[in-house]
Amino acid sequence: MKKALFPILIAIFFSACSLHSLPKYNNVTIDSDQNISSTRQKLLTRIVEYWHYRLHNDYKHAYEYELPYQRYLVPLKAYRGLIDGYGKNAKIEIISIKFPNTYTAIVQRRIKTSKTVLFSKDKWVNVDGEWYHKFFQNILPPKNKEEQEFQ
Amino acid sequence: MKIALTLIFLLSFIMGANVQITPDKSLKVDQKDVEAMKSFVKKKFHFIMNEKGAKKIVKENRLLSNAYLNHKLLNDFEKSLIRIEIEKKLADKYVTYLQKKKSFPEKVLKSYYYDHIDKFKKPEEVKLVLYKFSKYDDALHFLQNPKSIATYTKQNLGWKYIKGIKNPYRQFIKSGEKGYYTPVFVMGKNRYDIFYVEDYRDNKNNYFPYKAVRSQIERIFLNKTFEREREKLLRQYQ
Repeated sequence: MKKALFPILIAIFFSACSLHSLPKYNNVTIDSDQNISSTRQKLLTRIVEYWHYRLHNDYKHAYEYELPYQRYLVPLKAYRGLIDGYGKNAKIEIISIKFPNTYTAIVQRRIKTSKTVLFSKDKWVNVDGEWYHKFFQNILPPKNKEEQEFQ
Repeated sequence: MKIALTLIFLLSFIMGANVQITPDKSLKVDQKDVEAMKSFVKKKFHFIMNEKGAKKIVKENRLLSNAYLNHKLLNDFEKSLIRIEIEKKLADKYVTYLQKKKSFPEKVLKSYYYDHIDKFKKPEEVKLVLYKFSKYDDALHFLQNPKSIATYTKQNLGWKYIKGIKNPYRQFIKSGEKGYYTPVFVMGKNRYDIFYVEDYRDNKNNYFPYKAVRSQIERIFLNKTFEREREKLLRQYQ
């Protein structure tokens, strides 16, 4: 598990370093409010684990990180058909994290596959202290504004 | 649809899928009919009808629909239409009944709440005071100089959501700021009102707590899972 996580952790580490140069990120980490810092740490851990499973096409585990209400509405079998898979050597880089409110985090990310580089963002929602990813189905056209933004 | 709903109040025998509609000769309107009419009007037209009015309408509809039936104007197609509507209603009610029996996991509802937190933002509020006058001149005089001695009745209305205030009051209250007096509203003979905006809250970062909107979210999930539950249920009966 630790070995498998290593490539992603490296990416996150470097991105975290680069994030330090971003004022938004600095604001979060330097803030003396420990709650914000621990929230960010919890979020980063969830992001790393989630993307580890996603990049290894381990849908069963990735599914556990999706919002509980989405899991209630979309069974695992259907979920597999709604989200994108990536090649074996894909790597993810977290570019920035923004908190529009206490319960939401918008994570800018870059996925490098053997063929291309994909820029996109994720929405994470804090439910009673635990961060959950919100998945958006990959079927076009988007059904609403939010789907258009995150698809 | 109108005919169907009217006829539901007729003497109806619902035996499985068999619906028979015959004129109700007794024309007796009982309390259940009155309650049903009041509930129907409230749901359909957002209007609260009093007992007397409800009873009158039930009786009138019954008279007219009896006449319709006595003239044998209800054809087979219309009968089928009514039957289909009743069956659909009963089928939907059964699915919803079973849905409600098994409650949604708390985490499911909560996660929906946090994901859609912006939908649960509190609207703008104003703290209102109402000044009632019996003379128009007094009201005008007060408006020109609120510190002047005028005869009025003061009533603290407390915090009110602006969007919940009826027009034309809302139009004025919305445009005003803290410390604003509305123009004089003529409410009737010897009744003139002025509203005073004592305080204002924009509630930009205030949300309704989860507990306050839980039942609203539950209703959303009843809708979202309706078809799925219906399919599940049908598999049991087919």
